Amino acid sequence: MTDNPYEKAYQREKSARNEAEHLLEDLSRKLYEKNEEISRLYDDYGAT
Amino acid sequence: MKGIVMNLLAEMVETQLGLEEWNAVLEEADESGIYTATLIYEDERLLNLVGIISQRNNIPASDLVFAFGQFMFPAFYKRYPQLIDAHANMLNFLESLDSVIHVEVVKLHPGAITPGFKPDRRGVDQLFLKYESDRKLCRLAEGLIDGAALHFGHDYTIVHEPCAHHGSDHCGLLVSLA
Repeated sequence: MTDNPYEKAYQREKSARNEAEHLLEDLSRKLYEKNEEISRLYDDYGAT
Repeated sequence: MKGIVMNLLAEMVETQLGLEEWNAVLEEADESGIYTATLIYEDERLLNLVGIISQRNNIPASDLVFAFGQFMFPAFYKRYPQLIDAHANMLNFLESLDSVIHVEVVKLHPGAITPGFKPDRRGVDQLFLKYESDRKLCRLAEGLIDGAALHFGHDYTIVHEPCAHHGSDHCGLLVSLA
């Protein structure tokens, strides 16, 4: 870990960005999976 | 190419070659260096950055791309452990690679082109991956496999035949656990 205050601030900002992107990746994956599930259910419903 | 890959390249250069070096690479490439993990960027931008890093640091591009693959695996694991922990061993994980990459790319970018990793399980300890991509980043795939082997604690061998860099329309990667 660096003692340079600017590098510390940079690492902090980078971690915050990574966390936000991670959240977006997780939620968008869940949304995609739900949409796929709805499509499958819709297809199954249409086939019956 | 997903922005996460651009971010990981930045991370590798910053940690292994220094912040100054990454700044110099961006300047030479006339790039802002602002990449968002979820966005898609033109492949040429990544390849251009790799070319500049290779030239500035006297590292053959092929070695650099392989090392990037090795670096990517633990970095991916740090970000998405659930995608990797779901598998008991490396071959099971590699078998799922195609669907994992596909979902990660198309979930926010429907219709985006994803590289193909078609798996053909040839035994409990052997898997053939057919890699098809215009990017011809087979050395990146080899590096990723090497990083995965380290993560799962496997000794392995890999036979790379055929190769898109030698006239074939795809690469074949036969991975065998020792």
